Formats: sequence, structure tokens, C-alpha cells
Amino acid sequence: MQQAILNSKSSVMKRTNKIRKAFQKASPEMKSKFYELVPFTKKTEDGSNIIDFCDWQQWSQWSQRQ
Amino acid sequence: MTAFRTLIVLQPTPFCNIDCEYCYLPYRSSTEKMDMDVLGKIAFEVFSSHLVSAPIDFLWHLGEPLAVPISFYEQAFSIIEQIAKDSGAEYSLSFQTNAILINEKWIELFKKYNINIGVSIDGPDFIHNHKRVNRKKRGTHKEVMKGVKLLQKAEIPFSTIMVVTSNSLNYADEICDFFIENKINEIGFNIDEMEGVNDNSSFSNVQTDKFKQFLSRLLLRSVESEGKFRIREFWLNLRPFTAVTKEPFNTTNKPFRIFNFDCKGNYSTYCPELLAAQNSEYNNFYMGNIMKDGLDAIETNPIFLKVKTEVEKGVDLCKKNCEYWAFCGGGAPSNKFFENGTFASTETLMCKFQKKEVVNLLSDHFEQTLQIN
Repeated sequence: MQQAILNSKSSVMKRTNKIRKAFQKASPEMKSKFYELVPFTKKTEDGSNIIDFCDWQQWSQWSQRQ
Repeated sequence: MTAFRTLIVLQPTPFCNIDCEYCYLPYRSSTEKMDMDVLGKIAFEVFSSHLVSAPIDFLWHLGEPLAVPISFYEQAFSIIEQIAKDSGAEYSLSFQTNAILINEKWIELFKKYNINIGVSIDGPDFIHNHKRVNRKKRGTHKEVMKGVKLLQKAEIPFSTIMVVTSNSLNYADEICDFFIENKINEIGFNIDEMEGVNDNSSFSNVQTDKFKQFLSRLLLRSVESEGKFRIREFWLNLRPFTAVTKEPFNTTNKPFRIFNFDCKGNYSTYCPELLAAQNSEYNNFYMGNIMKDGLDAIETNPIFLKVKTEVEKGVDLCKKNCEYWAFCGGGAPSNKFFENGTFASTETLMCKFQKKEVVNLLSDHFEQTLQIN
């Protein structure tokens, strides 16, 4: 049972790592598709968008209450 | 970026002007108010405690915050401002409201103090009115939308939270249409949880496939909107897909990232929902009272130490056993306690639906978008 869970754990992370590697190599147009899902992004010096994790943290903390 | 910022949840009053059927808060008919001496002591302790990291976010919640007069906040904000000035720490102010009591005077206050607004609304009227009712059991959608329109007219940005029940799952497109047509752009979806005085959840019998189908429509509509309709459940889980992180982000299962104060000055850390518990074994999760104990005394409080040990056991179990650890970091203690009867446990309904199914769906979506085989 434990082994099955660990294998499964590894498969979720394998998928995630694959996606992250592909994301990091993706074109700015493709990356901006990801960022459209995020309320907090900021422009870097080269004009591309990155996620502003400081605002992300603030928003995620207080936006979860019902 | 700072390691973390502290969230201070304040209960101005336990009173709520409506009576939602899934609400977890007790004493919603009590009109008691937080005394300014209590607030002053909280602000003083918060700005001087070594347990608190700035910027500090003050969130007025745990009751309807607009149910107390505007003059209450004029006084409260002036106290906070003065103490913050002396300490030099940055802070922000937020309300989580049902929006029903918003009028021009509240709008003036929101603008004057640059207050972040979160509105609770459950989508279109036929869904919202099912559970978000007043004390006469009448739906409140019309009154909420009046408040929403006033915010929009005043160009005050706001986010929304929708509580999803098993009934809502049949109406994904109607929900998306409602938010998009009303130009409500930032939405978080919470499932109705078993917490506090709400001892059941409509999700106990929901099949994960049905939820995934609902989520798929939301994701598709969010992607199609090109940034005009953004859903918290998706961006909240995006981080591990885009960057290597040292540890998962979770503020609810680590002590001192959130402090919760009821209107009498009793406080706890971890999830705010713990203050809604009526439990003699844990002394209602009171980990101190600000007037009697100050704030730093929490570190040696026996209830805090007991909860901390159990929460850590639960987080450790998640770390060892859960394949979604990187996205979650060990779940929410209040969900574990109210659903499983102990903090030293693992999966809850929130894990199953709001975490695992969201991550599975995002993985499918990104594999397709990035053409990964």
C-alpha cells in the first residue's frame, strides 16, 4: 500500500516537473497564456510578465474565507 | 519578497444581517461589538510582537463587518494608523462582506482608507438564493447585487467568493455567464465545508468525476476570457508548475502566520474557523486573551502547544503519504479537526476536491497546451 502511494506520488511530481521544464523553455507568448490565469503579474525589465508572488501571497491568504 | 506576511483576522461583531444555511459561525444573532480598548491593545501587541512579520494584513471578518457603524471603523482605523506610524510597519485593511449594507457612505470609507474588498456571492440568483438567505429564509441576491453595482460605479476593485454546493455543479456555464456578464473578474470557489456549527457538507456524496467536469468548464471559460475571468483555484495551484520552490505555500497549518481575534479579544492562530468551534477539550481554541495575556504568551499557552503538536503530526502524515504535497503542504487544520475529529489526520473533502482534482485538471490542461506526451 505504502509503495503504491509512493509510486503514485512520484507520478504526480513527474508530471509536474515535466510541465515545469516545458514551461521554462516555452515562448513568451505561451508563458503569457499561463499568466492570464493569475491576477497578480508584473512586468520585468525586458517587458515580459512574471507572477508577483508577494501580491499572490497576500491575496491567497485573505481570499480563502467564505 | 518577505518570507511571509502576517494576516490578522478581526471580529468587529459576531452579528450577521443574514443567515446562510452553510455558515460555520456561532452567535450570529449577538450584537456585541469589539471595544476600542481591545482593538487598541491588539494593534499595540501586533505591531510590537516578534511573532508578527510586516506587511500586516488586517481582515475584518467572522461576522458581517458592515453591521457595525462607520464611526466604529473611523475610530478603529485611526488607532491602527497611529500605532503603525510609531512602529513604521506597513499594513493593509480588508473587509470580507456580503455587500448588502454597502451605501455611498461605506463607499467613501473604502476609498478614504484604500480598503481591499471581498464580496461573498454564490453566482446567479437561482443558486445564490438557495442558501444565502435572510432570517425570514428569503434570498438575498438582489440586495447583494445593489452593493456590487455601487462598488463598480465607484470603480472600487473587489474579489468574490462563491460557496459551491453539490447543486451548483449542474450549472457551470450559468455561473460563468453570471460573473462574466456582470464584469466580476476575480472569483474564488469554496466547497461548503463541515466546520463550526455547520456539521454537514453537500460534498460528502459527490463523485470526483462530477466535480472535475464542473471544473473543466470553469477552466475553459477562464482561458477563453483572456484574463477577464480569473479563478483562485487555478492560479493558487500554478506555482509548482512554473517555478522550483523550497517548500509548499500554506499559511493555515504553520503557527503565527494568521492570528484570529474575536470581539472579546480571545485569540488563536492557524485557521480562523477554529474560533467558531465550541469545544471544551480545547477551551474553544482560545490560546489567550489579548487584555489578560498579551500576544507573545501564546508561545507557552497549553492549548496552543497541544494543537501545535497535533497539527505537526497531521502535516507530517501528509508529507509522507500524499502525492500532492508540493501543491498543498499539509492541508487545513480546521478541516481535519471538524471532518476527521483530529488534527493528526490527512485527507479532507477540501483536499479531495479543491486540491487534488484542481491539480489533476491543470496537469491535463498544461500537458495539452505545451504539447507534452
